[in-house]
Amino acid sequence: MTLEFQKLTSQVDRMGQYFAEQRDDNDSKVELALQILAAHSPAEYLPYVLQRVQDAVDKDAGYRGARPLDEPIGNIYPPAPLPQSATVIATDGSQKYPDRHGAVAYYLLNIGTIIVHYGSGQPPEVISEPYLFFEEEYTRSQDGGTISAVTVNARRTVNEMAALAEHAWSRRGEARPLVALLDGPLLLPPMGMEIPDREQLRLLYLSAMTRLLEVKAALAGYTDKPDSSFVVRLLHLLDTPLEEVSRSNLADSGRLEGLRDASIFRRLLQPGERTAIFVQMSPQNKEFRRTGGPDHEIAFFYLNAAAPGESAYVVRIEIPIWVAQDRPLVAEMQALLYHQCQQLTMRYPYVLTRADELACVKADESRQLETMIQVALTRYGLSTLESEKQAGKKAARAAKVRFDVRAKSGRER
Amino acid sequence: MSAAWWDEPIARVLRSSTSGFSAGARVNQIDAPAFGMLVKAQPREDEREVVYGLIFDIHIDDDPLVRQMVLADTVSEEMIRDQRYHRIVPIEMSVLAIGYRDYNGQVHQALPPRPPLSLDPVFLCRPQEMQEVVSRFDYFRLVLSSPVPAEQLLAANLLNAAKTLPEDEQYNFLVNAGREAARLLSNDLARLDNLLRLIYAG
Amino acid sequence: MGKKPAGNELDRFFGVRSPRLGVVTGGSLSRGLDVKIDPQNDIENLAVGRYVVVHGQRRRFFCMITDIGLANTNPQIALNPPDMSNPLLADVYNGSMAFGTLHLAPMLVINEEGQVEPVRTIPPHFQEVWTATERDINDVFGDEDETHFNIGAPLELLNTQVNVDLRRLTERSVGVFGKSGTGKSYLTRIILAGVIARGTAVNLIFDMHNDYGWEVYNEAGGRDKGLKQLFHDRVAIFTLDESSSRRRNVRPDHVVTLAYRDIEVEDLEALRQTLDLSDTMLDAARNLHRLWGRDWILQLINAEPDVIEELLNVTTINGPALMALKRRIDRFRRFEFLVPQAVGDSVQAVIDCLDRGVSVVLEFGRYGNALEAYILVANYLTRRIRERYVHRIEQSLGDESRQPPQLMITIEEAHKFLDPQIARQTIFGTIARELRKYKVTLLVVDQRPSAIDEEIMSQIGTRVTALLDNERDISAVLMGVSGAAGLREVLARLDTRQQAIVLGHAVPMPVVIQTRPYDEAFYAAMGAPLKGKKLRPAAPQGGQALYGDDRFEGYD
Repeated sequence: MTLEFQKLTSQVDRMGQYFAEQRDDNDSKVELALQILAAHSPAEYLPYVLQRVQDAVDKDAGYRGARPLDEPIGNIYPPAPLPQSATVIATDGSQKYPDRHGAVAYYLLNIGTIIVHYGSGQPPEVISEPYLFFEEEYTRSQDGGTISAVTVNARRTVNEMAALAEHAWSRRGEARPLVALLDGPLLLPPMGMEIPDREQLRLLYLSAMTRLLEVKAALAGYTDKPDSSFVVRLLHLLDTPLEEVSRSNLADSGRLEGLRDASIFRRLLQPGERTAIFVQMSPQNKEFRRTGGPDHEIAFFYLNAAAPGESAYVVRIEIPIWVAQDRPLVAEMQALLYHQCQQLTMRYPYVLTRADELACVKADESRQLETMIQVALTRYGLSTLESEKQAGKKAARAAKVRFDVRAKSGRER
Repeated sequence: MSAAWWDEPIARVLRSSTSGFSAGARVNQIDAPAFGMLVKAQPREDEREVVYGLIFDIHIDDDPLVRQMVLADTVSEEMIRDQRYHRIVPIEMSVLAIGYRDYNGQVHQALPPRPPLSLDPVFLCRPQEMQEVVSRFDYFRLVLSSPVPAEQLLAANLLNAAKTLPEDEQYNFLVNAGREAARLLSNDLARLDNLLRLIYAG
Repeated sequence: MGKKPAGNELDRFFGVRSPRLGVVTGGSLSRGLDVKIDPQNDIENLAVGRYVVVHGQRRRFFCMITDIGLANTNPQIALNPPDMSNPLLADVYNGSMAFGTLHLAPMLVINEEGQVEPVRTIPPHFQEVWTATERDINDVFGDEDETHFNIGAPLELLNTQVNVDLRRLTERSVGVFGKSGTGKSYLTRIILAGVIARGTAVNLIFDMHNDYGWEVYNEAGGRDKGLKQLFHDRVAIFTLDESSSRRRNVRPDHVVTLAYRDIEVEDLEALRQTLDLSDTMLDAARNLHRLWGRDWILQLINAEPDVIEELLNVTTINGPALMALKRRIDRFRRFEFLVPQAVGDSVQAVIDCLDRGVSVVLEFGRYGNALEAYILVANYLTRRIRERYVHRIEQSLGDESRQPPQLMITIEEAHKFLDPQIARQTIFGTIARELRKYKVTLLVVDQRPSAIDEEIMSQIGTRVTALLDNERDISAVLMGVSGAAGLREVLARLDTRQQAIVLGHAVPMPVVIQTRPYDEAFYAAMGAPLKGKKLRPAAPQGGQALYGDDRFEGYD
């Protein structure tokens, strides 16, 4: 036993107090935000809201909040009825980073995909694709050393999208709607200098998205516990008189500072309902639009994934503009995503959980891979040495259990 | 289980004693081995005994994902099938040792002198091997006096063994097995009756 | 699950060795052996009276099944019987928890050298018990030959033979017993045929109801051949009632007459019970003999009342006794074979036949129903014949060639002759007790063996018994036979016809037989002389059909 719980009790208590204060503080902000939202909700206010955003842009106020796409900002939309048949594809990836202490440099990407054929009653298709990278062009970084974890992550993300596009392409003849789902935002994070092939990666990513467009797949990025506050910033903008709109004023959200979008919408969304579609005004999104085309700009909406009777559980769905423009498709996708969240009490899409499982490389599998590689290398006359420190740690942590016929399963000592 | 699986280990030994062993496997639920099956822990070197045993317990522990699905309101057919057919779950099976083969190839129906070692592969026994191992009924006493669901285990084992015989020999085999059981359980008619009914129902 | 297989009738048909019956689980030499029956045996197929063989470590123990029972390993099962409609349960419980038992009476032993020995020990625990096979039976009873004669087959082994040792049969007296209607005369006929065919002894048969000599009636209403028809000039038919014989198309070889003056008071002693003669009456008879001489009987019969009266005045003869005696003696008038003057010497005629090896059947005709005639004549003839036998044997001084042939005398209603009260008085009691001292033995046929004097019964060496249901009769027959206690159940369960137990001197061990059929095959076998082991067909005689040679290859 190495965690001293007695020493933690007072700290935990202080934590409780802190968050309680926060919540109280929060509640009044939510009320205010709701007022602002309600005030600007009527349909005739939409042009006004768009104009206010444009003004902020024109003023170069560094506005990073949301703008409505073409739906009044307070609108709430129910899902379509669940389609009788559909094809839902979800992809996730996992990696084994290069071992700096290893004799040879290599890394592994494992991409997992699940394809559910709604309405067929058949078990879904499950695919795991491992890729081993060992050539120098892959493993060497700019400075001559081994590439960083950041690089591997970036390559993984791009490979996920590429795999998703590949599978969507091969399933293009299957039942419609065809939904292609990823975990996390759709916008590529900025890639720094340390990633040698960042340009190729970006192009690869965009072309994958284009593929999905061609196939008319409903591509979506799923964020489970969104702490974004894009809409809050919009409300703050609307709350700020035009003449006061400036960089400094928009640096934070003023009276609404600290509030998240989810806190507002949990009050408004019934289970299964979505908010209006917004577009995030960020430089990355602008860049995305620039390099990929207007269709590639990323829009989003919030959805309440909770079951009826449960307290609201707000998640964010990102979609490219081409999907957003097809309202019926959005409504069907909304229904399917909601249905997926009903499969698990944690209200996270079943397919994404499974894709993650399929991608995941378990510890013993990782070790088995290492053994395989050692054997191969040995066969070719190369020696391999595992760090002795690692070996010792592993052994000490292993739990000891004994076989007893009487026990249903082993008892841990 | 598909017939091609004789040569592949279905599990590996986790823990063991001379009365039996636990083995772990990662399989999808449809292909899981069955209660009452005869398996063997085969050492990787030749100087140790092959230990034969009957699966008397199979654990498919729940995991968070399954628990979530169970507690959720709607679980659709495709997701259930995904669990059954694809989801590799860790299965732990407990095996009661009933015999061993020494390094002369001779089969003994008694507790093995040494338990199998961790990571020894565990195989299903081929029909001929099963017939050889359970050709005598000496192991009944061992099963019936172990703290396991003995009657269910023995009935399942005998029914499996009978299936490997030609159809016209199956009935007589079960009658002879039943008589041996009657000999051992003559002073516990309730258990005997239970065992015979389980066999008959099979 | 596989289905229950059909029975193995084909195995049985082709004579594949039947499965083991069971194992010995207990018992003792005196009480008999206990056997647990193996599961695969159907208890309903077992029966008392069958032979089984216990394969001991060094010996084979021949035993007879004397009882069949049911047992279980756990009494609970009797209180709570399992559901037998479930075939698997039934098959498992039958033979394991619930099983059949046999009780066996060990009869004899065949040792390692293949020799037959009496039973003096028992097999150890858990030795195997098998149904006796034909080979087992043949090992015990051997083959038919000059001295062994087939009288039937053991139950369930109808292809084997029970061959009795005729010499041992005639060494002691023989008893043929059974309730009325069980075929005693049938059995007796077969035995007599064997004795005559092999020439083991010469016979004198007192045939009360025309069952032996010529054209006997069988129960089917047809007619079987009599001994004379089988053996022609080796059998002579004498008759007491010529007209009755002629009516039946019998040509008797001699008509027997007895002269009144030849009847002695000793002859009347045998009639004590039948005529209800008291001591005083016999005293009166002796007195009369003394007074009137040898013709006293005729004189008594013809005596007028005044003669009687005068007699009583003159002598000390008891009056009422004399009258009673006269009343009884008067009955003799009915007997036409009783004549004042004898026609020839019937006794000598019999002896002449016997000397030539010719057996004599004496028919009684209408007198067969008169018990006093039967007893009078049988006793009369036997006394005199035996007397001459005694004389000749004593004269021979051990020289066999001068001795008369072995004689066997057949009497029916034997208890009338051998009742404890009169056994000492009749010659038959004497003969029975003498064994074969004077080369005369008895063949007694009777349905009330318990009425026969015990001491005499114990001298009856071989007993052939059909069904008896009276406890005392059964005890009487089994008395004095070793290991016979277990046969009680068997005796009581024989078929009413054609089954009998043979036990005693002439067989190595008691055996239940299905009697040999008395039919054309039997006639032919009797007609054929025995040469080695093969019998050749007889030369055609008087219309008998010829059978082909192959019919008699390894006969029976």
